[in-house]
Amino acid sequence: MVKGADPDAVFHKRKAISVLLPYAIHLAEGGQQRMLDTFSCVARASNSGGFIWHCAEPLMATLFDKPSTPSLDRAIILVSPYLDWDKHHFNQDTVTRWSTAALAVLEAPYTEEIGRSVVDTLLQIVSVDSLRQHIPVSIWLWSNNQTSLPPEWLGGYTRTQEVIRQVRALGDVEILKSYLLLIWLEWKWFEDSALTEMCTSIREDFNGIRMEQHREELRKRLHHVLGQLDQGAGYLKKYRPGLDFLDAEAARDDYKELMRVLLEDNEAAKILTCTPSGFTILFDLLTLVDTYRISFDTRV
Amino acid sequence: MRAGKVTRVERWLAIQAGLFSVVTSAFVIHVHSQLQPDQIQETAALLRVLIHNLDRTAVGNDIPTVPEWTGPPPTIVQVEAILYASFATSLFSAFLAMLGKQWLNRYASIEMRGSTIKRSQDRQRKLNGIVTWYFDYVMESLPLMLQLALLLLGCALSLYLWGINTTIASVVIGITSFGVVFYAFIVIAGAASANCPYQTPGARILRHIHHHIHRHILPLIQTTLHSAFSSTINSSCISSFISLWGVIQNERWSVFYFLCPLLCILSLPFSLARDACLLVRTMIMGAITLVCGMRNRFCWVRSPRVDGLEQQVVASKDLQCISWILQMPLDKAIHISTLKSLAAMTALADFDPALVSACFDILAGCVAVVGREVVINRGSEELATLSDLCCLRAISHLAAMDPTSSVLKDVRQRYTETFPLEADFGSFPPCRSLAIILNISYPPQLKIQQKDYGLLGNEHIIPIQLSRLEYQKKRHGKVPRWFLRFVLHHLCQDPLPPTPVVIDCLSVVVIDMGCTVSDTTTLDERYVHIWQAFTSLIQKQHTTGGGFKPNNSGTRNHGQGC
Repeated sequence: MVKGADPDAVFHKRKAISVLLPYAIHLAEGGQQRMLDTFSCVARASNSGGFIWHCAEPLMATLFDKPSTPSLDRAIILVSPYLDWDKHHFNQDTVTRWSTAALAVLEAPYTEEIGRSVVDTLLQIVSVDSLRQHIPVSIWLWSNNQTSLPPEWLGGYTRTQEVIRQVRALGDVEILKSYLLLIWLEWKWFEDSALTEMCTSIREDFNGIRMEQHREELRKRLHHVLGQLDQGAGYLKKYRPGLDFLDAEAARDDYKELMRVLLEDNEAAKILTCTPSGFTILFDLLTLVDTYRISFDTRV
Repeated sequence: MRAGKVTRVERWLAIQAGLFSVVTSAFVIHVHSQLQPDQIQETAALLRVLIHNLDRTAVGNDIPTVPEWTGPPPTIVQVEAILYASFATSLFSAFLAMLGKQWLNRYASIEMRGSTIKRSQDRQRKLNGIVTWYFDYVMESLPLMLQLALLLLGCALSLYLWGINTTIASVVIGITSFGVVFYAFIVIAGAASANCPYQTPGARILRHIHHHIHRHILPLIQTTLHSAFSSTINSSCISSFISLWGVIQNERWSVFYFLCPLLCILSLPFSLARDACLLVRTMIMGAITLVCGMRNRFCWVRSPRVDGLEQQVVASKDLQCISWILQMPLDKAIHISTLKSLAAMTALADFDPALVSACFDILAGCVAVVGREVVINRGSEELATLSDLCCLRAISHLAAMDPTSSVLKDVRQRYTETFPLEADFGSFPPCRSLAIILNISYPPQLKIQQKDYGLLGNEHIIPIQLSRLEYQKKRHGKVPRWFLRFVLHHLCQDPLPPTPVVIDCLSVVVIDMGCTVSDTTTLDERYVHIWQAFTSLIQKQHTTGGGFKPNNSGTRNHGQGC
């Protein structure tokens, strides 16, 4: 740490930095991206949500009304994590525009900054009740493959029981899985209520033979994170210098618990998957016949 | 305005001083005869001697003698001295009143030649001279001199009559004492309450002294004493020994456990001597600091400066003229012309804060509140627009130069008195300065929104503000929030404002980040300042391993450079 360091130095100057933002976007639209990148770096260094000054937010929101261009899409993605998505001026159209911009930017050569920004924003939108349902599945599908993201982002605070419950209530296993995969990337321990909710979700939502593929993905992600946590202080410090090892230990216990819950149902599923394939074909045939019979009875 | 007030006082003073001198002179003449040998008494004594020589039985057994003159009685001398002092004081007061009348006649004389601007500047020069040379104070000293003369006359009469008849003297002493007590009472009352109608120059001086003692001298003394004695105590050898003793007490089996008492006793005289030296040095340094601080505090007590016309900046004088004209209830056309001159000025250096009030008054006079709606009076559209523009500039300037100015508070109060809380400015186009006052006055939910700031195309506030932003920089580099809003609004314009405005906007951002801005005028150098500001910020922050490298785009593919 630098002598005389102020952990909130950047956040204290967020008004001035926010004032600079429209000009940075103007430059970015003209092809000069560097000031916008700098803004993103500085804002991320603050490690604080709601970084953009509230006076600048309405002006930033007007970005979503402009027609899509590559530079503007990129600007939207870089700025979005620092907006307060709980405000009234964000709606379905805004989320759709952001998703379009994200998908367009992600087609370009991938950079860590863009990936982090998308994930940050995604998790913030998830925490807003009115916006959660408007997130397109394509963004979730993209997030499934992300394992190289750094273990800390602004959206980490969305790992609460309420948010997990709300995501479960959407009724889409694909979204739920993607959400869990994302929030498990962070090396942080969970609240007891959130951990209980996730265990319940694993037992109830990912139960059955057809969930085996999802369970396998979850298991791989947990294995990946536990592998990182097992690599010791040197590895963890490299990515998060301010990491508290007691927290890391607590996080490892939580992830082990999740793995245990995931594996306990896995035994039953393994038995079924290990049965001869003839039984599976027979079950499918019987199901088909039964479906035909029901439809025939209905017509009669 | 100031001269008119002084003229009336001076006329009254001249009459009073003349009358008082006449009264005093009568007493002086009466008492003056007692300073010389009394011819009548001497003649009577000689007659008595002659009669005694002619008929020794006519005047009794006593042999009459001619008294020898040994000088006037001491009491009479004292009385006469006091009376002369009173007389001289009243005469000097009358003399100054006459001179004052002459000075004011010269001040009030109007130069008939030259342009209006030239004559206004000449008037302003004279007014500046009056302020610089403390003309008010000189004129206000005349009543004080008369009061002093009256006091001296009362004392002289009391002393004189005490030797003649105590009963009569008691009456005079009683009335004089009552006058003194009454005057002291009104001075104290005037000093205690600024609203007291019995204000006197003495009350003002007393209030000024009290204010300085309370605000400056007491804190200075406290600070000096605190810093002096705390440093002494911290560096005291005794405290060092006490702490050393505490350490050694914990090391019971150390060799020092046995040697320490001996060491302490041996070195105690040296320690005390050193502490005494430290204490004396600290007291001397404290006294020097106190004297220096007092001198700095009382820098207002100085001789009048000679500021000639050639030493004054023309723009500054023009601003003073404009301020004076706007405060005068003149014709609307004159105000419009004056406001146009103000709007055309490129700098507002050293302007009079009263300009803000004057502009606001004109603006408020152009509008009316109908229900909740604020409308412009018919025929006042141009005046409203101009006064709004000038008010905006003046308020912005003052708010940045002196955010704690009492004029700003006064304008806020007047705003709240003029406009209702839920005033609707929808049909009132020039609402920018009112919006600023709103921003200063009311909580956020009542502010006019960002979109309502309708800046004119030729309105470059930022360059005007830059000079005093440097001033802000000296005060923790904090730029007012409302000003950041303005900068934000400038940078949100589509298309962007002219390059100089952008440069100034970037400068404001850099200053608010706590960095120094050099006097450069190119955009590239402003970018360098911004990188420096960002770097400085990140260094202040707890940096991560990846770190922020402003000059290196790293793995990013978009670093095009500005």
